[in-house]
Amino acid sequence: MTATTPLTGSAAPGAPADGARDAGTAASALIVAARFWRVFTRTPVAVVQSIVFPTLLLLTLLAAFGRTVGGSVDAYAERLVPQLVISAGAFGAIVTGILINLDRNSGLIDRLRSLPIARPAYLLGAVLADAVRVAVAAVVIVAVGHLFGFRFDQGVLGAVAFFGVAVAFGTIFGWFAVWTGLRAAQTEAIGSVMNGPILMLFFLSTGFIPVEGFPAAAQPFVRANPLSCAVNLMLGLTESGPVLVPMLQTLAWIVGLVALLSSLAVRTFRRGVAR
Amino acid sequence: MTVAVPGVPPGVETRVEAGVARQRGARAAVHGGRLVLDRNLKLFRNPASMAGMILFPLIFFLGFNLIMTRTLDRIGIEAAQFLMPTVVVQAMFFTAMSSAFYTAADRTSGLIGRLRTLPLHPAATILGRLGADVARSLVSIAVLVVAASILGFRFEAGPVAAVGFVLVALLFSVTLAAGFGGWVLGAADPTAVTQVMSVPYLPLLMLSTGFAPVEGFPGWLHPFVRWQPVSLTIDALRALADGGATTVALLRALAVLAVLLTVFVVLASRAFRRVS
Repeated sequence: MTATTPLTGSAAPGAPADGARDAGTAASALIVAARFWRVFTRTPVAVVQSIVFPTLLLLTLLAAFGRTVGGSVDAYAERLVPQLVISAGAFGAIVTGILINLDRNSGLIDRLRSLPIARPAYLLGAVLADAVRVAVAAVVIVAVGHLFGFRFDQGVLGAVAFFGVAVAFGTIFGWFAVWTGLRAAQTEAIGSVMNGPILMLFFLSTGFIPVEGFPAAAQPFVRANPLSCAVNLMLGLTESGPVLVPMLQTLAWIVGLVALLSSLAVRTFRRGVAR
Repeated sequence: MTVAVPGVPPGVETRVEAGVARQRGARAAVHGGRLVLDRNLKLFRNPASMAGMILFPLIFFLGFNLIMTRTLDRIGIEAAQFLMPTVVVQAMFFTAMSSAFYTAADRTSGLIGRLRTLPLHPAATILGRLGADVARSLVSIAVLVVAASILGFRFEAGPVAAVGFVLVALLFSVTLAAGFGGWVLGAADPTAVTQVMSVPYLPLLMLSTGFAPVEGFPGWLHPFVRWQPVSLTIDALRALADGGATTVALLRALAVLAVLLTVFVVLASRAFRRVS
């Protein structure tokens, strides 16, 4: 449909009806996502930061904390794999933020705005590519975790849901990356801006130890931490434990934070990112 | 022939030999080093750089304490005291990696080659970098000492050992900066190096005696965890902070760091001379 429409057509009077424009948005978003993915796979730091680094972190944490903190390496893998899958989504999003910022500073985003493509296509494409990245990282981390005792004890459905949670939860950080990437004037600042909150969530998470293991004063934060909710849900889906309550908590965090961060990102985008 | 150059302090002679102006001697090295140092310190004055120097060491220290306090309690170890040398070493990693980042930027922008065409002493670039790294390390150490003291850390072995603690930490920082700096100067693509520095950093820090005693690691890792340089440095820092038997741990750390520093300095200066 879009392929046969002359380029001038969409801007001319009698532009396609709403239904056709929706299809255009999706198609354009896919093109943006494919481009993001190509840039991503050809940037060593992107692959290192979002796949190699979390995998190394899993291995070294298993070795260093497995016996002392987790009791045994096997048992600790069950807890640490969800934590690292979730944090790979978060830490890797920093790279997405940097790539978006490079597009902003090179003028590509402003250039896209002058082209006859759907306005939100860039944002949706970025988040979509980020979601693919999260899925790939999750598969790698689960595969490595499997070597050290991580198992899907709750069957295939649990396994599928596990990856679904990882990707859905990852969109929080995808939108965080889009917002930060569009806003930051200096690319170097993105690492600091995103790392601060991500590291705090990372440490205050039940993905390291059960909530009872934290000092009493920290426990309310640990319980409320979105990462804890997602890890608890993933533990329920793979090992054992409640599913319903953590699922509702995780869902609430995803819906709330995606709504907040995406509207912030869209607002920044609408204002125009030209300096 | 000696020429007068405005702004150069007395005692620093600028000679012109075969049409090239040169400043030589110890005073000239100090003068040039200070000029470069001032410029390097100015680059620290921005939020991202400050975060790496102050905020991130604090977050990691508090984070590791949160996760490990109860576990370490169970085996009779006081977390703040145990983790303090670990996060100091981690902060020294941050310093060395940021040092390499600045060196990469200076190489890419052509500043290193440009400085060479000025009459400055040839060591000015390196001295200025060294001074900035030491200053940055000292700020991180000071911040961590204050934070750790609040959580119960003490220099149990007195002020001399405390000074020794800071000096060993600085020696580690400088050694590492020489290693990363040489890597950045010698590599074909300096920016790519700064992006993959976390790959050696992570296993060296995590697979060390910093987070668990050697016995806490899987058996096949014991030799590496016990003898790798980061463990030896942390063991020495711990001995200097906790008191007790210090000599052997200190000598081991000094020996391994001296060897590494020598190798890294040789490699780095060779790479430095080749930078155009």
